[in-house]
Parts: sequence; structure tokens; C-alpha cells
Amino acid sequence: MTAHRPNTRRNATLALALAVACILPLVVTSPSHQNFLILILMFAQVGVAWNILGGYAGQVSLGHVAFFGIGAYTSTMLFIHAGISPWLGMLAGGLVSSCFAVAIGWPCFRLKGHYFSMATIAVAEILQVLFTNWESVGGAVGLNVPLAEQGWANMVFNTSKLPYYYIALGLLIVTLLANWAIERSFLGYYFRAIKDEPDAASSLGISLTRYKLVAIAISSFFTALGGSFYAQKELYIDPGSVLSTSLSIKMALVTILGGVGSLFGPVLGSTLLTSIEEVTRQAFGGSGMGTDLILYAAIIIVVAVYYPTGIVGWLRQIRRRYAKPEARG
Amino acid sequence: MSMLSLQNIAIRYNKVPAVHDVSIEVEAGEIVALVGGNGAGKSSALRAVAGLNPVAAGKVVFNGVDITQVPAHQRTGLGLSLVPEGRRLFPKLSVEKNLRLGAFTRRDAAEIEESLDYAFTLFPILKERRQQVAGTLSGGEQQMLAIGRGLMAKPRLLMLDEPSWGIAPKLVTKILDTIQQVNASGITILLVEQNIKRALEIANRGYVLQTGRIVLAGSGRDLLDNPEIQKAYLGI
Repeated sequence: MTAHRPNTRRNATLALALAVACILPLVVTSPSHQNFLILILMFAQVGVAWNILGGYAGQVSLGHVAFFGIGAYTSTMLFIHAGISPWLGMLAGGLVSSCFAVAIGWPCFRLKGHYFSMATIAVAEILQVLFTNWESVGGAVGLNVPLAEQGWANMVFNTSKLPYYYIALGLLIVTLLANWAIERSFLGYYFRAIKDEPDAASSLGISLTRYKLVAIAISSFFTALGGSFYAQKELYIDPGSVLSTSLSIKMALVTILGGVGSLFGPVLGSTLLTSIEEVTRQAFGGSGMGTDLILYAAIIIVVAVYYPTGIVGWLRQIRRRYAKPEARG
Repeated sequence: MSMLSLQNIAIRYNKVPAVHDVSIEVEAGEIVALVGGNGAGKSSALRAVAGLNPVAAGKVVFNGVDITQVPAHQRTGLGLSLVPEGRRLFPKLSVEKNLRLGAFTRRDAAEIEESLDYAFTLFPILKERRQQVAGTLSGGEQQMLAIGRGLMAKPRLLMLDEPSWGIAPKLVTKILDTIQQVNASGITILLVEQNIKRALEIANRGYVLQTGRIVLAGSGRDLLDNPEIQKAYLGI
């Protein structure tokens, strides 16, 4: 058996990637570059969270920003009105988000395929309108995270981006570990059974709705953590930033680009997509011109036509091509 | 009282009728075959028993209980198991994982191991390939795995939809023999087949469907000897 060899290589690659991720912000000291790295980690994290529902269970949500927004609003409101640390607020946001997800999942999962995706868009849009007109949560003006004493207790850092970087990295690692655990547990098998052969799964006794609800509950929990983190990083949220449709699309897109249903796909997807965005932003200026949406559409077309398995699938193809002559020799 | 009875069921796909007023009885211990050409409504009727197709009219009664409104995933626990058309395996999971997913509704670990051994005794090739990914098996092996997976639910009634579909003639014999073997162990069989001759050879009774209606019913032998059937389906 030589099965352990790719595993050791994989572990070595992971250790190396982790080491680079830890050291990188110490080398890259410019705040704007550090912010760019934080964005990569943040979108990787929400992509990994999206992947639980969209990738493993095969339910493509285009309204995940609802969970992101709920996370951001819950932790911020708790911080403002009750002085609760965003660390706890983050967990509360995750739980609120999961409850909301189950409540909307119940009716939405009666729809299949594209119809489900469309329903999720509607839910997110409704939420955005609701929050824009809801004065108690700041309405269209948004909310400022209170000017608390900076430090780890309040997750507020004014002078350096470095702590945010490590929090984002930590969140990403936690989310990846959760995904990894799901992938190897019975849940992962049920999710894939539901995705690949729903009729067969239900005639084996697997309740499709129940396990889709489990998937959306877990997925929305981790998405909400990302939302709370975003609120603390920006120290300001409004419906346009944490409940925007383009954010929903981006969450799906980093995963589709990287590789749907693969553990590290969203990380690769986020790295590439965030980089492309950074370049186009500098070239065309600002993000309010809709260039990001044009870009998303172009990427969806290219991936769907040429690389339906995303970057991960493409890399596997290359590795197979080079591995073959080696095996023969 | 029969084990399964379909009482005047009708099935429609978006208002297009596929099955009209079909009544079928299956007694415990039997092998019953639903045969007929393409689009006759055989699979539709079978899927209605499994709960995958809603019925527009009529009742499905299993062991005296009306299960017409019971969702598909709850019917498995009642003792119904479907081996779907086209196998519908989980292609990226191993042979063993596919089998174990078949035992989803069961909790007793020792009994599950027993069923796993039973599946491996019926199809020794599956034991050899237990770690192999299901998608890489041959058509015949996939059908064996699908039947094995169906048996893992420990059903009282095993339903098979086109088990001979897309497999070599020699393996068809092996699979039909195994179905008889399973039946001999006490499991009732409801079989849907386009391969009418082979199906009626092993069936105690059969129903012939044509454009959504039952046109003939009788013992397997009688149907095989029926001149109309011979002319229409067997090319004799």
C-alpha cells in the first residue's frame, strides 16, 4: 500500500500553508495589503460555510447574506445595548441565524433546484428592505460599533489590522475543521446522498427535509460568525454592506470557482476572486460601478463552460496528467 | 389480507395521466411482476408504492395500513424497500458505505452486520470490492449493489424497478436467480420489468400494463402461454 504517501504530502502542504498564513502579515506590513489578506480569509471562511449547504448537500443558496447580516446585526446590537462582548455576540448571532435558517428552510426546501435558489434570493432581499426601514436597528443609516476600549476583550483594534488578520485566520481554521468533521461523519454521507440521488436517499429512509435543515443550520451558523467578524473589522454596518445581494453571489462564487463540495475549494476561490477584484478595483476605481457584478457573471460563465469542477478539479486533472508517466516508469 | 394492495390508483404528471384506475394485490411470500412496454406506467405505479410519486386517486394499503399519505422516507421503516430504476447508487461512496446507508432506518449494530454478511453471501463480488467506489463498478455489479443496498433495510417487501436494465444476459440470469433466492428467504418481491419473458418465468403472478391500465393478469405461467402476450411482447 502506498496510500499513505499522498497523505503525508498533503499534511506537509497544509502545515506549510498554515506557516505561510501565520507569517505573511508580519512580512506584509502595509495596512491596505493586510486588509486585502483579511478579505481573502474572510471570504474563504464564508465560502467554506456556504459549501456545507451548497456544496455537500447540493442546495444552492443565493441568499446567504441574510445569515451574514443577522450575525453582524446580532453581535452589534448586543454590544451596543447590553455591552456584551462581540465574542459572545458572535455565538449568539450564529444561533439566531441558525434558528432563522431553519424557519425559512422549512418552506423553502419544498422547492427544488433553481426554485430553491430563487426563494433564497427573495428572503435575502426582503430582509434587506426590512432592515433598511427598521429604525431600531439603525435603518438605512446603519450602526456604529461603540467606541470601546481597544483590545481582545472587545474585539476592537484601532491601531493595527494584525489582530483582525489572526481572528479571520482562526475563524477560517475552525470552519474548515467543522467541514472536515462533517465530511468524514455520517452527516457528510447523508448530505452527499441527498445531493446525488435524492429519490434513492428518501427510499432508504433518509428524510430529505430534515437533513437539508441540518445542513442549513450549520452553514448559517458559520456564515453568521463571518458577519459578526466583519462588523468588528469595519466597526460599522448598514443594510447595503452586510445584506447586499452581491455579497450573497460572492459567497457562492468563491466556492463555485474554487470547487464545489471540496474542503479547500473556497480558500483557493477566495484567493483568486479577491485578487482579481483588487486589480479591477484599482483599474476601474471604486466598487459602486457594478464592475464586480460584471466580473461575477463572466466568471460564472467561464467556470460553468470550461471548469465545472472549479480550480480544485482543474488541479486534480493536472496532477493526474503528470502522475501517469511516473506510474508507468 | 394481502400484504400490499393498490386500490384504484391514478397517477398524473402535471395533469397528464400516466396510470388510470390500477388495482394490484401482492400476497406475502409471492413474487409479483408488473410487465409491459415502455411508458405503460409500471415504474410510476412502483414509485407510488415507494412514496416517490403522489397518487391523484386511490389508496395504497400495506399490511392493512393505509400509507397513501405517508412520506417516502417513513415507508422504509414500515418494511418497504425500493431498488430504483437505473440503480441510483451513491457513485462517490464505497460499496460498503452504499450498503450501510441502506440500513439508515435500523439501529441494532449486530443486526446490521448480519445483513451486511447476507448481502456479501448473495453477491461475493461485493465483498471483494467493498472499499471500491460504487461509480467504478460494472453495470451488473452496480445492480447487485443496488439490490444489496435495498436488502440492508431488512424489508418485508422488496421492490425492484428494471433489475435487468443495461446488464449482460448472463448476469440477468444470475440476478433473477438471486431474486428467487431472496424470495425463498421470506421476502416478498414486487418486480417491474420490460424483459417480460424472464420476469414472468420467475413470477408467481403477473400484471400486464398497457398505456396506464391493467390489460391482463394471471399466474406467470398462464401469461407466458397466453397467445396475445406471445404475439405482442414475445415475438412468437
